[in-house]
Amino acid sequence: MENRLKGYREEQGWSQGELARRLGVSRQTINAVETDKYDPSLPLALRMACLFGVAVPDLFIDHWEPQND
Amino acid sequence: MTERLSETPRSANNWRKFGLQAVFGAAFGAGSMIALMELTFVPEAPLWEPSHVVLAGVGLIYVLMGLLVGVGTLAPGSIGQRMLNVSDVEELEEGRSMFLYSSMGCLTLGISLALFAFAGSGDPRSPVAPDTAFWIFLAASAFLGVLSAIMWRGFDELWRQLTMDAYALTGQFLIVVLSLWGGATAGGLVGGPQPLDLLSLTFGGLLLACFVAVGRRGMATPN
Repeated sequence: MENRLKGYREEQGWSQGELARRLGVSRQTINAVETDKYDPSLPLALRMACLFGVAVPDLFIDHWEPQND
Repeated sequence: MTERLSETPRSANNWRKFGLQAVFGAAFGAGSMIALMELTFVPEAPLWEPSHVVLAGVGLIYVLMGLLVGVGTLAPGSIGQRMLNVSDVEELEEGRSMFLYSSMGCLTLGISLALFAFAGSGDPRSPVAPDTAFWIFLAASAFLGVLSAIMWRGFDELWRQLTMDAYALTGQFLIVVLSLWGGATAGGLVGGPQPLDLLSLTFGGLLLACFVAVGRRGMATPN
């Protein structure tokens, strides 16, 4: 799933390590999310959105569209 | 909105480092396997059967990985940063305890597997008898269980997911290989696995699964 984590992180002037420390996860996790190799759990996604003061759909982009019957 | 803001640039330096790691790993691995073949080749008494050599090879890979990670963690600036797949020295220092646990686990498992291979071959140079090798393996397994529990508690969600992925892949690998091998043996088409083959398949499969799991998350190549 695409995301804007890197953009928001850089806006704050934080390194991956700094963001990892604030979220209580490893730096590899931040890197894996930023490079779209790992979709975080719902609790972590909520924490990320809370940290940047945005909604989860602003941070994570899903192209799924509901089908009309 | 479809813009992609999470693209990470892959610098030439990182790819150079990746190439150096690959060349070093290949050379180190090849050298070690040649040394192993020399060690296990006894012209007067060909004691070492393929099952023993394969298990010794699997054990040796774990030992080499344990040594590399251990030395790299203890010397992060001079060796670790260059030889291990980490972004920088800080990453090694942040994960120091986990890397050291991992190193201890690999060394313990590798040595116990190699001892099994040595003892099972009947080679008179073996330092232990087969039954002693089993008790050592059992003690090593208990130690690995404790180590795994400690590591699991320190893992964040990505590492827990990677661990589960690796074990799931190992299970799938064993189901396919053992069911086919067992079925073909029952059908009289091939010879059945030796006891040591089961150890080689389990721990060799786990090793492969770890590489696949890590590679699928893009953690086996430079950022």
